[in-house]
Formats: sequence, C-alpha cells, structure tokens
Amino acid sequence: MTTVDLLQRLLVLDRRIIYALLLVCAVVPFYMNWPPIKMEVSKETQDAYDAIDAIPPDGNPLVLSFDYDPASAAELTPMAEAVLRHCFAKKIRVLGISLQYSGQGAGIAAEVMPRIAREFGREQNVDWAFMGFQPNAVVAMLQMGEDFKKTFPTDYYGTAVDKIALMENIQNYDQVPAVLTLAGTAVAESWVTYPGMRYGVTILTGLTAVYVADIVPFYQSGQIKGMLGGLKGAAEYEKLVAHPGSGTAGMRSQKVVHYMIILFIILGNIAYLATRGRSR
Amino acid sequence: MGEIVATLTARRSFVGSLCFLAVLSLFLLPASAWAVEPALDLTVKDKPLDAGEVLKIAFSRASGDSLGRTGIVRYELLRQAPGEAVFKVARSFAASQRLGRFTYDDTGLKPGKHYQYKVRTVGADGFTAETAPCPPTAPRRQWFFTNKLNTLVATAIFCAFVLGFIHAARRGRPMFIRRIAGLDAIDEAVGRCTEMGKPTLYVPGISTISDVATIASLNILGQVAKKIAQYQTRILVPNRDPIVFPVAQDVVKEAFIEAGYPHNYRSDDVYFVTNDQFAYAAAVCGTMVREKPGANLFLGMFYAESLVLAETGASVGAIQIAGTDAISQLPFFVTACDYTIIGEELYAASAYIGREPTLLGTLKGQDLFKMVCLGVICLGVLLMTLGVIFRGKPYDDILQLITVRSGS
Amino acid sequence: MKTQIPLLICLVAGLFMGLQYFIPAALPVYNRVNDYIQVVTAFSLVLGVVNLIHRHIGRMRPSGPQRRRHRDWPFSLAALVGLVVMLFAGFGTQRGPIFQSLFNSILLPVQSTMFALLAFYLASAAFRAFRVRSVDAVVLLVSAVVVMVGRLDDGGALGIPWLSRQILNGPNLVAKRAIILGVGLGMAATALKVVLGLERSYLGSGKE
Repeated sequence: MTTVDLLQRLLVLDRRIIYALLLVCAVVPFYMNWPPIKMEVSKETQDAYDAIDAIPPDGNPLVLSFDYDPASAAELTPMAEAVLRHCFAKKIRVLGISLQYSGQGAGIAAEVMPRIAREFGREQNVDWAFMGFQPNAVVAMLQMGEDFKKTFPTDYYGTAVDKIALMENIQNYDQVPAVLTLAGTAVAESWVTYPGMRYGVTILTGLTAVYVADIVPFYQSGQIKGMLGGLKGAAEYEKLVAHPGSGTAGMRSQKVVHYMIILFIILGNIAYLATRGRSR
Repeated sequence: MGEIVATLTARRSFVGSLCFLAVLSLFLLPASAWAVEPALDLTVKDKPLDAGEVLKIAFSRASGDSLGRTGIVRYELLRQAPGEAVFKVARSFAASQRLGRFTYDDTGLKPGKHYQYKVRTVGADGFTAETAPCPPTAPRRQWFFTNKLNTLVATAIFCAFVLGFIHAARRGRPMFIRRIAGLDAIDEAVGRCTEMGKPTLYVPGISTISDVATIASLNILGQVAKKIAQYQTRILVPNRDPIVFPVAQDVVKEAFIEAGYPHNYRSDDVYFVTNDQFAYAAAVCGTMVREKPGANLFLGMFYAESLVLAETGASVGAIQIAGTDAISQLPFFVTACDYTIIGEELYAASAYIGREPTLLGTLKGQDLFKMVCLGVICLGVLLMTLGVIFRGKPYDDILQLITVRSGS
Repeated sequence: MKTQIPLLICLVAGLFMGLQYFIPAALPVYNRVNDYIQVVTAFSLVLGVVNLIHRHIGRMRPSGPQRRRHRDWPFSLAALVGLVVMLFAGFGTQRGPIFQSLFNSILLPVQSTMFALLAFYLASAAFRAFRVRSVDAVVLLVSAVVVMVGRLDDGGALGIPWLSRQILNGPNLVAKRAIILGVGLGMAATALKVVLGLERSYLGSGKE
C-alpha cells in the first residue's frame, strides 16, 4: 500500500475510529492527572470573582440561579461548587433558585448546595436557602422584581418563606447585590433583558462554552459584569478560590481532546492535498 | 507549668467577677438607661415610572445601634393610610441583619392618595422610640415611559414602513426577493422523499410558542405539509413543547385537508415526545435511525442538541435543510447539513414559499428599516467620535437621543 | 368564525403587549397576564403527558389485521415505566431520598452522556468539514484552530489566547451583531404580521 493510498483511506476514515480515539483521549487524562494545567485567570472570570467578593458578609445574599439541566452539569456544576466555596468561605449568604423549565436544575441545586454548605458548616435558611424552581423563567424574573415571596412562597423543601431567616429582608431586586445565572440556554439572555435592564440588577453569568459566544456582546456592553465560560471559566474560578476540582480535571481532558481534533484536521488536510490531483 | 495554670485560674476568676458586677449593675440601672433611639434618615419616595401603586421607603439604623447588639430588637415601619386615624405596622425588620440601611417597597397603594410613614425602634424589653412622621406622600401613576421615547419613534417608523409596503404590494407593485437556496431546496427534498418512498422528518425547534422562530417554523410547516400531502407521502413531526404540539398537529391536519387528501393524515405522525432537551434529541435521533427519512428539516430555535441531530441525520444519508436564528448553532448546521437558512431568512421563508404579495411587502419594509438602522449606527459612531475629540457637548447630548436606555 | 375569533384574540393580545411596553400604568395588568401564562403553561404540560401516554399505550396494544404490537413497543414500555416511577417518587416522597437518588443516579448521568456525545460528533464533523478547499476555508480552518488552542492553557508565549480573543471579539462579533440586527427586525416583522392577521398559516389552513 503506497502512502497516497493510505492518505486516501484516511479521507474516508470510519467515524467510529475517531469516536474510539476521542473516548480514550477524554477519559485517560481525567484519571491520570496529566497533562499539567497552568491556568491564567481571564478578565471575565476575575470580574465575576470581584463582583461576588465585594458582597458584604452575612448581609443580603447573592442569588445563584441553577438554570441548567443535567446535560450541562459537567461544565456548570464545577462553577457552582467553586462559587459556593468562595461565598461560604467569606460568609457571603447565598439564595439558590432555579428557572430551568423542566425543574431538573432544582435537582442539581438540591444536591450541590447542602454538600458545599456542610463543608463550611453554614446553616440552612440562615446562611443559605434554596427556593426551588419556577417553570416560566421570564415571568418568574418579572415577578421577583415585584415580590420574591410571591414567586417562591415556600422553599424547595416546603418551608414557608416567612420562616426562612435569610428571606426576612428580601422583597425584590433592590435587596439583591448580584445574580449569578448558570445557564446553557437563552435564560441568561433573559436575565440581562429583564432583571438587568428593567431593574438594574448586577448580572453575572456562568455559561457552557458553546453558549459563550452568544452572550459576549452583553459582557462587552457592560450589561453583564462578569462571566465564566465553559470548563475554562470553572477552572479559573477554582484557581481563584485555591480549590482545584472537577473543572481543572476536565480541562486536562479538554486539552488532549482539542489537540486530537486539531491533529485530525491537519491529517485530513494533508490527505486532501496529497490526493487532490488523483481524484481530479 | 503549675505557675501558668495558677495565673490563668486567677485571671479567669478576676474576669468572672467583672462580668458578674457588670450584669448586676445592669439590673440596678434605672429604666431610662435602656431607652432606645429612633431610626435615622427616613425617606419616602414615589417609585418612578410605574402604575402609581408603590412608594419606596428607606431608613437607617438608630445612632448607636450596631447590628442589633445594643438592645434594639427590631424596627417597625408604621403606615397611616388615607382615612385612617392611627398608624399601623406595615412591615417589621429584624435589627440583627447586617444592613446599614433598610429598604422597602410598599405595594398595593392607591394612586394619588397620601400616605404617611414613621419608624418605631423596639428594644429588648419593649421600650420603643419613634421617628417623626414623614410628610404625606402620594404614589403617582405615569402614563408614558419617557425613557422609551426613541424606541416608540423607531417602532412607529418601522410599522409605517411595513404597512406602507404592504399597501403598495396590494396595489400591484412588483416586489423582488433574492433567491434563497435553502428554501428552494425544500421542494427538492420533498420530491426526493416521494421518489424514495420515505417520510420527511420536520423538527420545529425546541422552543416554546412564544418564540417568534417557532411561529415562523409553524408557518413553513403548513406549506411543507401541503406539498407532502399533494405528493401523498408521510411527514413526521416530533414536538418538544406541549403547546407547540397541538398547534403543529392542527397545522398539518389543515394542510392535508386543503391539499384534498384528509384521509392520508395520520395523527400519530405529529406527536409530543418529551419536554426535556436531550431526551428529545435522543428520541428524534432514534426516529431517524429507525424510520430512515429521506429528508430532515430542522427549522426553528435550536440549542446544543443541533449537532447531535444534524450529525445523526447525515449518518443515515438524508438530505438535510436547517434554519435557525440561534447564532451559536449556525456553525454546526452549516457543517453538517446540505443547506442552511440563516437568521432572518427563516422569517422570510413563509413569504418566499407562499409568494403572497402582502407578505413580500413586509420583507421590503423590513429591509428599508434595516437601512435606517445602519444610518443610525453610522451617526452614533460619528457622534461618539466627535464627542471624544471635542470633549462632550453638544455631541453627547445628541447621542443620548438615539441611545436605548434601560429601566422598566 | 373559526379563524376570525382566534385572529381577534391575537390582535387584542398583541396590541396590548405592544402598548404596555410604553405605558407604566398598564404594569399591573401585565403582571396579571404573566400569572395567567404560568397557569396555561402548567396545564399545557398535562396535554403533552396525555398525548405521550396515549401514543405509547397505543404502541403497546396489538393492532392491525395480524394483531401485532408496534416493533418499538419495549421503548414505549420503558418510557411509561419511567414516567410512573418518577411521578410516584416525586409526589410520594415529597422530593425525598428516593426521588433525589433516582435523579442523581439515572437522570443526571444519562443526560450528561447525551450532551457528551457532542464531543464525538464535533470531532467527526470537524474532520470532514475543515478542508482547505478555498481561501475562505483556509481562514475558517486557521481561526478554528486558534480559538480551540485559545480555550486551553497553552500558547501564551505565541499570543494565541490574545489572538483567540481578538477573533471572538472582533470579526466573529461583527458578523453576529449583523445577524442579530436582521433577526430582530425579522422577529418584529413576523410579530406584526401575526398580530395584524396577515400571517395565519400557524392557525392551520390560513383561509376562511
């Protein structure tokens, strides 16, 4: 078999071979702690960190909205964990909500929030609370602008809002220093358009990498004050809170996979250029 | 070691004695020593740009109050409504909250009626102090968002353009519309399905009916379904949104009736799958693999599932036409589909396929307004540049006129 | 009548929603309408679930001249079992440990797996699509590689993260904004057509 024949075969490579190689490249680095990752914190992530860091301890809470479903959990849960660690370490209170339409974001929050709170010994309903989910995101956002208690009369666990100490002073967005939405869909845009534009709330976003490009214009225009993008954003935040977690581990896999795809693109093009004359 | 322990014990007993004396002295103090101070700086303002049902109230802690640790338990906001003789508690604030200033929106008030407020400071043993009542304040109802004047002008111009061109189209003025390859290919795709005896798969996006992209998709669905009915083949429409589902069912049914083949309509072919994004994607991929459709039409709003759908469709050898205004999904569709309808082409599709003059007129109005927008963008860039060069006025003031501002 | 009443409702609702944007006094009505939307959304889900159950039970029932089940009936059974189990776990245990455990151990990994498939599709699509067929394709390919490396922690010395940001924030954003402008106008025009009843294909036949 000549080199050109080999290259021609490469052009019509069975996609299952690519899939198998990709599987290996994604799984192995996750468990091997290799290759090493040296993160440099981007301006967007630093801005988000600074905005959260500026919230006074034990005062009005950061609203953390789990607007994603399990499909995006690999990218966004590391962000949620890192941000919660930051808040709880600095005694910043956190009010969790979810506006993910099917309610699955609530399932994620119900697992993540108590777990990280236990790490820091933070008390439920005093230092943090999780209010559950509302299915119609835009309507819920507008309602919260008038009255949080109307939107969430009880928390996720059924406790009446009046019995939650954290909610005592929360009436509407006037008492909310910032909102961080973790999203992979247009919910992030709605946070900018409605609470951001209508009520002047400080909006921060944590987004899946594929969705970052959609939201960048809002960050550039100053309508979003800080932004975490994909696994990279999560890993950067983990670096800022000095607690490397699944975001940093995921970056290793991402690194190897990206280089593998680039290698395939280069090989594919070499094969294409070498065999172009023949196919003509 | 023994010395250190002895010293500490001695110190502890000394500190203990001091505490005992301090507590004792507290009991012996006259009641006036507990007197609490009134809250400071009470302000009551009408909420701007609203329906006149809200007053915004704010006040600061009493002097000497340090987060409720100095005997103050809570602050009570008292309201005297019109026609009432006494002040009643409108809301209570725990003094332990780490806030320098308390804020509250008093809602559900009557527009134009005067309300008075004062704040009562409540101490641990029930001692209270009150601020002087604020001057009577009335919430005012506003009838126009003054900050949206430029948006209103732009909307009026846009509507005038669109309606003007519709009028012109109705009077017979010819309207040219450029060729859109993706829309031309729909005919070809349906024809191919007929030849191969395979169904056409139509995915109306995964968004809700309130999304204009979904409405545009349903408009196209009506015309595609009519063609399919005329060719007497099958159309499969899996739905993700429970409200879009019955609308899609009705659109396809009506199209089959209009084409004269109502008996060919199968209600099971237009169905609800699930509300969940990736479960829906999995189900549609399964349908593609099992039913092997001749053509896949992905028209509407899509998110991260777009590449999963398009790649699976490509692997089963279907001709694929995608159309979406979800910008981040366009690269995936361009890569994996045969034709891609980009952004606003999706909205033009109904007019393009139907060739109805009134609908074509709206496209013309839209295009003209786009030119106006481009002109305004250039003007904005020019004004901003001049503002920088000549340090502000009058350019910044003119720029304000065309700047879209936030707020309600 | 069948078309006129929906068109009238559409006209009134559309005009109100357009006008309320400019009238602060209409905000209470707007908020009330939003509450109604919540209720309609909740009821619509019932509609979807009823269709789902109807469709899958239909597939499991023997039908046709040979009294055969649909060939995909085991999938239908799995869907119905999943629906019933999650329903009872949710209602029965008030989102207790059973519900949370089903959520964490089944739904979460299954959905994450579906999303992870994107990486595989992306790799095969990139391999097929990024070929240097023309000058445009070369630009696309080089940009793609720069942005991919820019998402990693490498290339700092070569200025690749900087270049990646320039590509994303420069030409990429310019193109996006142009599309956004067109899409916005397209949406507004479509909304206007629907409100005025010029576009009525979504109502079915579109004719009286």
